[in-house]
Amino acid sequence: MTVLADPSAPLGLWVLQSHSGVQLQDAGRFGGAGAGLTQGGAVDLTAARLANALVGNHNHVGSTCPAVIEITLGAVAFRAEQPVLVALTGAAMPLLVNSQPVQRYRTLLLQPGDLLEIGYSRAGARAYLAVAGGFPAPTICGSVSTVLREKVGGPDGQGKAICAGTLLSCAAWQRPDPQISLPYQQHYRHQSIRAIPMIAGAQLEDLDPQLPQLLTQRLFRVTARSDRMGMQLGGEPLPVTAQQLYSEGICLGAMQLPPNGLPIVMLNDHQTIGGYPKTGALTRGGCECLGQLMTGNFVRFYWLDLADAVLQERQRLVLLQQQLDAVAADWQQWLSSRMLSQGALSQHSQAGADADE
Amino acid sequence: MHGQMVSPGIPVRLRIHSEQALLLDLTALAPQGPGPDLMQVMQNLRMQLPLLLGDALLELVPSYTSVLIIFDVLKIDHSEIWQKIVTAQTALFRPDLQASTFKTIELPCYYSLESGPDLQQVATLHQLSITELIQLHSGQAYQVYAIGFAPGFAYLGFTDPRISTPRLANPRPAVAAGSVAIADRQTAVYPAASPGGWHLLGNCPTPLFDLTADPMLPFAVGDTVRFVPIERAEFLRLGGQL
Repeated sequence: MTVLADPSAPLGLWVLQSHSGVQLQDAGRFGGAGAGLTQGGAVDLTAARLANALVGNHNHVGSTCPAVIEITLGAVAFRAEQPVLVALTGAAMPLLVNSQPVQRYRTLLLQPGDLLEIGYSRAGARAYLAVAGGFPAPTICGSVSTVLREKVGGPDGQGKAICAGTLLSCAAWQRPDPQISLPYQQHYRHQSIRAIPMIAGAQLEDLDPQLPQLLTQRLFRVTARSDRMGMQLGGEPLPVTAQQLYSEGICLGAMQLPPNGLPIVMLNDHQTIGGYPKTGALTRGGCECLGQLMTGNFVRFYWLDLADAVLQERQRLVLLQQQLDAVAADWQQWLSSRMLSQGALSQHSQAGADADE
Repeated sequence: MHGQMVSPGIPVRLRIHSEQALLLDLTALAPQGPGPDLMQVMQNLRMQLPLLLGDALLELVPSYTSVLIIFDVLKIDHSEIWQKIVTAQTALFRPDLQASTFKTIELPCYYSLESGPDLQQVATLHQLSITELIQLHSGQAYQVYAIGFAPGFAYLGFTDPRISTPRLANPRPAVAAGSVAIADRQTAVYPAASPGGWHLLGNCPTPLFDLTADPMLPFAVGDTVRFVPIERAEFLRLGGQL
């Protein structure tokens, strides 16, 4: 990968306004579950990857993703201390530079002193801010993902959210704005009632026989008790019959049914083991959709065969890779056009020098 | 049966967890519940599964009677993994186990009222003297059955039935790092200060969990742990805090 930005620059973004839902995230932490570490990572990894691609941080599905700032619900402000190339993707949050509205899903060149404000989300729970060259941070198991509960990850590795009054170091951008953007068809599109597929788990057989039907007939409301650990769903309680004896490993997307009958879908910061019965699980893509829902939004579930789920997930990733490749191609084109024009300039001056002799 | 895979002759079941996760259910290997024999199989799986699955494997989460396998859906799928497991079943489930290859970790523990505020209460509950309670708790080798709840928190089992103790009615808002605790027939060391609902018997002065170390924990699921009673002076010499 070409290093386009200067990572040695000591300055970056001054954080003026922030909260605990503003965190450094990447593709997540793997290899630490044996010690009890959760996977973490961007809830909407698709949006995080696209944000990186836009600012020229090339990344591929199925591998690592440079660190981005995950912004939950909005209400964040930064001041640039050096020229920085940024892009915002994901939830529809008002984006302003020096109080002027600017577009999401495209590169923005901030100059020193520029004020970048992200307002309350109009639609969607999470947006992603990427910076050309990324954010340097210590890694644990190859990831900088912030997990507040575990005191792991983040800018200083201590598991802290991005705090107001701190300087977030990032690379400086010494070139013009390449004006790379994504067509609106590829922007996050919010639906306040969402249908999400679910894969049946083996434990479903041991639970109430009505459960498979009830789960697909009912509409579930996203409650305020949802966070990066899990989405707590509300509605009429479901029948709970079985209790499991031994705790077992839990995966992203698992739907747990605690004794109160209100399902919880595990998101990125889920505990690694647990003993509640599980009805099944959402796919990774389904978790990205669910994780974008806001309090008061609704979700309904439909059953999806395992083979179809694997196929859908693979197709989703292939499509995302095509989008990432298309942005990378735009970048390549911009870089070569600049090299050409610079090349023409230097040839021109060379010719001038010849003439002088 | 929906959501799982079985093959004739193979003693475990595979349960579907998600499009990128499956669970090896080992309960058939341990009809009496998890014990040292099952934990030997668990250790073997912990070593063998990464070799079997290579870079398609993202994460392994062993716990009591199961191992959760999280994998890269672009590289492998459930039936391919099941096929590999069925093919390698002899090596996986009937390993030539040698006790000497398995790790036993000794953890120093200062049992006292100043480091274990529930020591007297638990002794009284079971009509034991404090010395008898300490002997029963430290006289036994424990298996690491699961790690979770918090980074580095290991569920060790099982304690002598004579000291089986329910959880606190009112969990403490803060438990000191290193606290050695019991709940039901399990025991654990709190790796960091945290809220906690287990009864506290003592404190282990050796820091167990270190994010920057490799491995982060001196033990893993399947290993054996013993508590060694130490005196106050030794506790302080080892860096214990009161």
